[in-house]
Formats: sequence, C-alpha cells, structure tokens
Amino acid sequence: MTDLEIIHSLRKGQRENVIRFLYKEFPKIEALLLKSGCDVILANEIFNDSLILFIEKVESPDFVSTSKLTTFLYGINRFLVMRAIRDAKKHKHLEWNNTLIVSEEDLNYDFEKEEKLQKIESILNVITEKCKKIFQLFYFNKNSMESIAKELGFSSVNSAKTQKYKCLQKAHQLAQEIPNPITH
Amino acid sequence: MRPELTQYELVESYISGSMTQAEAKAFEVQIAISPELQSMVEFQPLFAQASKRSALRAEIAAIIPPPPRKPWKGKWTIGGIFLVLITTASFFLMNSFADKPVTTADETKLPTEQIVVVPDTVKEIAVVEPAYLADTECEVKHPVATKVQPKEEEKEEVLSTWIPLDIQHTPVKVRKGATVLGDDGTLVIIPSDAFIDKNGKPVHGEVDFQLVEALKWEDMIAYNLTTVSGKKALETGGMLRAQAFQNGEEVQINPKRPLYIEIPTDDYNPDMVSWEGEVKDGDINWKKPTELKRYLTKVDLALLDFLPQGFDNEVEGSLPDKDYSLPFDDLVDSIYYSLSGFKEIEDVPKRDVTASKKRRTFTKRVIVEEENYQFIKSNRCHIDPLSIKTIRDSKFQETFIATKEFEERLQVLHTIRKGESLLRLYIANIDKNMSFTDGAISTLLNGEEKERFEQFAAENATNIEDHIYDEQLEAFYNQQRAQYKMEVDRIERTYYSKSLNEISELKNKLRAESNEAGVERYRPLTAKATVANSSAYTTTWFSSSWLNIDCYIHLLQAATPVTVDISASDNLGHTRIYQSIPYMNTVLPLNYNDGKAKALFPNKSVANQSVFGTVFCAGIQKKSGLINFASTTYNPYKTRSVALVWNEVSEDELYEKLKKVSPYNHEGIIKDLENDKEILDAIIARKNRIETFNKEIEKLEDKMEERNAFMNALLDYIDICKPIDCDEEIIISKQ
Repeated sequence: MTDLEIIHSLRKGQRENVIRFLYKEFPKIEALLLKSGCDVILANEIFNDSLILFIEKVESPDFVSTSKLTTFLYGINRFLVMRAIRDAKKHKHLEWNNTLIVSEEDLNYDFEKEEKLQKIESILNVITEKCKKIFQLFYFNKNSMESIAKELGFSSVNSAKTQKYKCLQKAHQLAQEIPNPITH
Repeated sequence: MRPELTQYELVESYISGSMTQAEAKAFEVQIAISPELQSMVEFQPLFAQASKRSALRAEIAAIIPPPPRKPWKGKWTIGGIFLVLITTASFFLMNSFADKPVTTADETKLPTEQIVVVPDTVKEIAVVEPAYLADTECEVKHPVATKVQPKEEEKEEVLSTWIPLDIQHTPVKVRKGATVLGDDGTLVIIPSDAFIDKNGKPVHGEVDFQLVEALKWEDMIAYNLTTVSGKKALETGGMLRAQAFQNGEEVQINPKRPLYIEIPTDDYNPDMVSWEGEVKDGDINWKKPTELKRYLTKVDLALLDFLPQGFDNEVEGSLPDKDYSLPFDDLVDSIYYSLSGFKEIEDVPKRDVTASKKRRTFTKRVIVEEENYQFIKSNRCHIDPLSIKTIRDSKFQETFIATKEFEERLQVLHTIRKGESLLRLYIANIDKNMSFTDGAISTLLNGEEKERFEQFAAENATNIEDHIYDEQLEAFYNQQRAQYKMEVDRIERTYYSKSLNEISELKNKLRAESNEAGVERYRPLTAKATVANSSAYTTTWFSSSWLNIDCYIHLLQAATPVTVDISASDNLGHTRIYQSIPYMNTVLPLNYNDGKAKALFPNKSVANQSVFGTVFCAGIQKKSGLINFASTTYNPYKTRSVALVWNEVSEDELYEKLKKVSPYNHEGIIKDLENDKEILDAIIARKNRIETFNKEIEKLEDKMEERNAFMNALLDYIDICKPIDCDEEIIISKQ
C-alpha cells in the first residue's frame, strides 16, 4: 500500500485494509517496545494506541506527510513508549535506529486532554449498550439521527434525539463524579 | 424534551457550527455566566472524540489478534523480577540434580494407601445453630486423622516422605455426597454419585474419603513436596491429595462429577493455577497447569456484612439509649439506615438579645422540633445507607450481590470517596460477570484504590451460575458464617465484660509475647475464619494424584547471580537440602553433592534486599530410622558460605522441629497477636468512650433535675391552688 492509498482510504472511512497493512509492522515495533522495557501487554496497548493516533492524524484534512507513513507510525510508538516508561535512565538506551522523532507538537498531543479522553472512554464501557450504539452511529459512523432512529427502532427521530441527550447527560454526570485516572 | 436536555442540544448545535452567527453570540453570553454550560461545552467535543476512539478501538480489535491474557498487575509485578531469577538458579540446580538420581531406600515409602477404617471410630459432627439454618441440609464432616504406615507396593511410583502422611478420613455415603472441612481449612465438596470403579461403573454404598493437606511449610518439607515443575520454580498456595477407598480398593472420582475444592488464603494471587503431581524417583514434579475456576456462591443476605467496618462497635460504644427492644443487629441496621435522612441541626438562630438582655440564648439544640432550623449542607462522603438497604432486599438474593466476593468489594467501596456511584455500577451491571464491573471501576480510580480493583478484576469472578455444588456450598457457607458470627460475638462479649485493667493486662501480655522471638504456639482470641469468610483458591478435581495450587515464578533475564555455598557433612548418606524464601511460598530442593550444596540468588543490583535479605535453609538426612535435621537463616548478600550443623531427631521431633523453625509460622503468629491486640484496643477505646458518655449523661440529668426543680418552684409560685384543692375542684365539677 502506498502512502497516498493509505491517506485516501482513511479519509474515505475505509480503515480495514490500512489497519491490516500497518499491523504487518507490529512484530518489528513490538520487538523495539519490548527492548524499551515494556511487557507484552503494554506493547500491545501502545501499538493499538498508536494506530488510533495515526488514524486520527492522517484522517484530518490538514495532515501533511513529512515522512513515509510507516516511519511516522514507528515515531508515534517511540513517542508513546517514552511517555509510558518514566524511568529516564532507560530512555538513553532506547535503540530505535533511524526512527522519526515525533514530538508532542507534531501529534498535537495534550497530556491532560488524553487523560480526560481515557476517562471518558472508560465511562463508555459502563453506560448501556444502547447508549453506546447511538454514540457509535452518530459520532463514528456519522449517521443522521433519522437513520439512527430507524436502525435502532425508535418510534420517532425526536425520541431517538431525546435518548441521545439523556445518554449524554448520564455520561457527563459520571465524568463529573469520577476523578481522572493517573496514567503516567 | 426536558429543559436540561435541550441545553445539551443547544451546545451540540453551537459546537457543530449549525447556529447562526447571532444565535451563537447570544449563546456565548449564556455560556459565560453558566459554569454548567461551560462544562457541557468542554465535555461534548471530548466525548465525541472518545466515542470515535472507542468504536475505532473495537474495529482494530476485530481486525488484529488480541494480546495474551493480562497478567496480574498487583504488588507482585515488582516481586516478579526477583522470583524469576531464582527460577534460573533452580534451573542449574535441577539440572545437576537430575544427573545424580537419589536413592530413596531409607525413606518412608508410601504407596497408594490401603487403609481400612473401623467406622465406629469415625465421628460425624453436625454443626447447625441458628433457627433459620435448620432447614438446610448442610452437615460438615470433620475428618478423623490417622497416621498409618501403609503397605508397600512395587509398581507404583511413590513419594518419598520423611514422616508418614497425616491422612484425614471421612466416611461418605456415595448417594448423598458430603461436605468435608479439613483440619487446615481446606473445603472439599463431594457431590452425590461422585465415585466410579476402575471399570467406570458407579460405586454404591459408603466410601472412606481420605484427605491429606500440605498447606503449611512444615508439611511440605516433611512430605518432601517441593515446588518445582520440570526445571522451573513455582510458588505455592497449598497442596493436597484426595482419594477414596471402598473395601480396601481405591475408587475413582467421576470426571463428570468432580470434587470441588477450596483452599483458604490470606493473600489471594490470581496467577495461581492448579497442577497435578507426578512422582518420579520419590520426588514430586508438577505438571498439567489448569486455570482455577471461581464459582460465586450465594450466601444468605442476612449473613453478609454490608455495613462499613466497625459500625456496630461504634453504635454499641456511643448509643445513648441502652434500653432497646430490638435485637442488637437489627438495631444497628435500623440506626444505619436512618442516617440516610439525618441532617444535623445547625446552631439555632440567636434571638434578638437587644430586646431582652436577660433572656438566655441557647447555642445548640438537641431536639428536632421546629422547621425553621437551618440544615447544614451535607459535605460527607459515604455510601448512602439507603442504597445498602436496597441491596439487602430479597430480590437481590439470587444475584452476585449475595456473595462473599461482593461483600469484600463493598467493604472497599465504603472507604472510597465515590463509593456510592461505583456501587451503582455493580447494580447496573448485575447481569454481567462481576469481573466486568471490577475492571470498569479499576479504570476509574487511581493509586491504591485502582490497584485493589485491578486485583479484584484479575480474580475473574463470574456471575452466579447453576452448578452441581450449588446447594452444598450455599448450605456450608451459611452455616459457617452464622457460626463465625456467633463466635465473634462470644469473644466480644467475653472481653467486653472484663474490667479495663484486665484487658490492658492481657494486651501487655500479648505485646510481650510478640516481642519474644521464640513464640511457638499461640491460640488467637479471635475465631478462626474459614473459606466461607476469607479468600480461597477454588478448583474442581477428579484425580487421585496430588493437587497443587501453584503459579510459575515468571522468567526474566538475570544478571550474574549471587552464590552461597552451603556445607553439611554427609553423615547419613541420603541428604536433602531445601531452600525457602519467607517472602513467598516456595520449597526448592538444592542439588547436594559431597557435603555441599549451592544456592543461587538474584544479583544485588536487581534484588530487593528486604525480600531476599533473610532466607531460610533446612536439611534432612535419614538412614535406618535415624534422622538428622539442620536449619539456618542467613543473608545471601552478606555471606558467601553457610554451614549446616546436624542434630539427631526422632520422626515426631522432626515435625515439631520443622514447625518451630518454620519461617512462616512466626509471621502468622505475629499477625494473630497484632490482630488480637487491635481487638483489645478497640474494646478499651469503646469502654473509655462509654465512660465519658455516661458522665456527660449524668451531668445532663443533674442539669435537667435542677431545671425541673427551678421550673416547679416557679410553677408553685404562680399556682393559686394547691394540688389537693385542684383535685377537690375537679370532683366538685364532676358532681
């Protein structure tokens, strides 16, 4: 897959092939992550997070590629592992040869925001399945409320909307009640 | 749509840019003055992004394979590094161990036991106490122990033990099954029709069920039960063997109706799995690791303690009115529930003192009587007692709420600021496995609280499910918990009735005992908890081989290990040296050659010296009935060589000796002592509080009397007829 194909596919919402293609890099990246002091689980989590950041970044219309996209993916992984492993001594020995150095600015990575996003994601795991489905269709699949009402069997668009805002209110309340997790 | 929902809609239009410029401007003014709107405006874009990420994560998960099972991230993660290094050490040791097979001729050979038990000698003890348990069919059988030197069999590979196994016998009616509680707290549930003969045909009548427990370090060493699997070291949570015999013939356990086993533990490690023991050259090797199954067992809701820890003591200590008609437990419950609506009354508004300077102003009112008192806004953090009342409702009896596992979680929730909303998560997800909510909650917490719930999640607790042990387990749990509760009450009553001096004296005695290094035996004041009250490893089992609840000590790369030479003269021929680290439960055999053994420890640079600073080594020799024993404690980072000095002991003495030097027993005793001291402290504190309280009440009563006398005097003064006259007047008017 060429870089251009990756960008086009992602912007059209066709992610599957891109994810499969990028996953081919995983064994090499995993080896680097393990060498950097991660365990297998953390390496997996970091790689998954890197895919999310990668997709978000590349999807956005103002993304300009400055390197090969797979190199960019390695750079994001390196960035994330630096965040995850706090021990500075270990950083010195990070052997990520020829890897793109990606900075917080490059990724628009805001630590506080990431923490909040993480908390909200965990809240999404505890709200009802129906709420989760509405949000997925609305925010991720970008479906209209009309089609959501139809798909989920609401009697009217209005009742689907009411349900959506009720769910949003519930999630908002939970977010206010629950403290931020410490992730670093 | 409700007004507050409309606000969410407006915020959405504002953020998505679908408002007109004028609308947006007007809305911005509203936002500027409303913190609630500001919060919504900040929240919604984040929420949209998090929703997208969550869906994207699911999409990625569907495409790429999941990571391996999440290892336990509790306090052992740090320990793990050290543990592994030992593994490497034992690798060397076991390698050379294998080169030189040991002779076992002089040890006690134990073939598959063949014991005929005279049924008359076997006692059955049925323990049933409270009335509401009377209809349960739980009959806990306490096995009767025998130490029998069994006959030898040639073909069978047998375990070479230093002393005969302590076998606990229980007669079991096959049709009925049984609940067996071992001496060291192992619970074995034998379902009905659990046995088959060697041809696979059902066995009828009665069998002699034999249980051997090796949960204590001294048992493991005495039975030569080391904790190795191949060349890897294991950490053990306890070992046992269960067999059944009929007319001297061993019968098999039906794999379709396996035994259910719970081994009690103080320190649950979710990495533990069950292993089957294989005896080779008289030694045991553990194989076939199988994940433990964790059944949630229902307990009568009334027997679960859902109130914050120590609340009942607090009530008992500070209850103003001692004359109550309710049973104490019900009283405690009702007081707890009533706290839900309770609001403290703020200082009574002062009256206008300028109007009459002589008029007194009261600064505090005790009795609630008027409406115009201002209530203090509640800034308290606790679970709403009404929520507890709700989950005590019988409709929750058939859910995971009615389990000791939930009780444990609730006790932790009581100590967390957001306990109330987290409790609701359990209720909202009551149809899912308990581990689902455990995991969700762990992501919402920080620090130690987070760690605690990660541990809970790692237990993989399911939901209540139907299984063949259901009834037996439920009956056992109910009965044990009721018994335990009575026992605790009894202890409380016994010590509470003692004078302060007596309790203090007892406490000082305990302190002296815990300072004494050689405490051998201590009978705790507190009742011994069983698996019905504490954590336990649970598994099902149908093999007659040894069962070990064990986990691999995970392997990592080692730096050059530290070696300690252990010398012990070769007086009696066959010698074994065992190495243990008190921090974890391991019994590793060291390779012994020409009077020398080598023990390897992790390099100083990577080892936590508080863990490895004190290690323990014991040796046993045996020949023609003569036994030599030696033991020592040392710090591998301060010494390069250790010499073991043999002492001759008898078989009985060997076991006593092991018990005495056990690096684990002392720790347990200290724990018991500390625990008991705490109980006594709490009783002293309560007694003191009551005394102060009583004094205050006396003072108040004096004041009341004074006031009454004063008021009566005033009444007398304004009274124009004496009481007797009034009576007369009434009589007259009636006429």
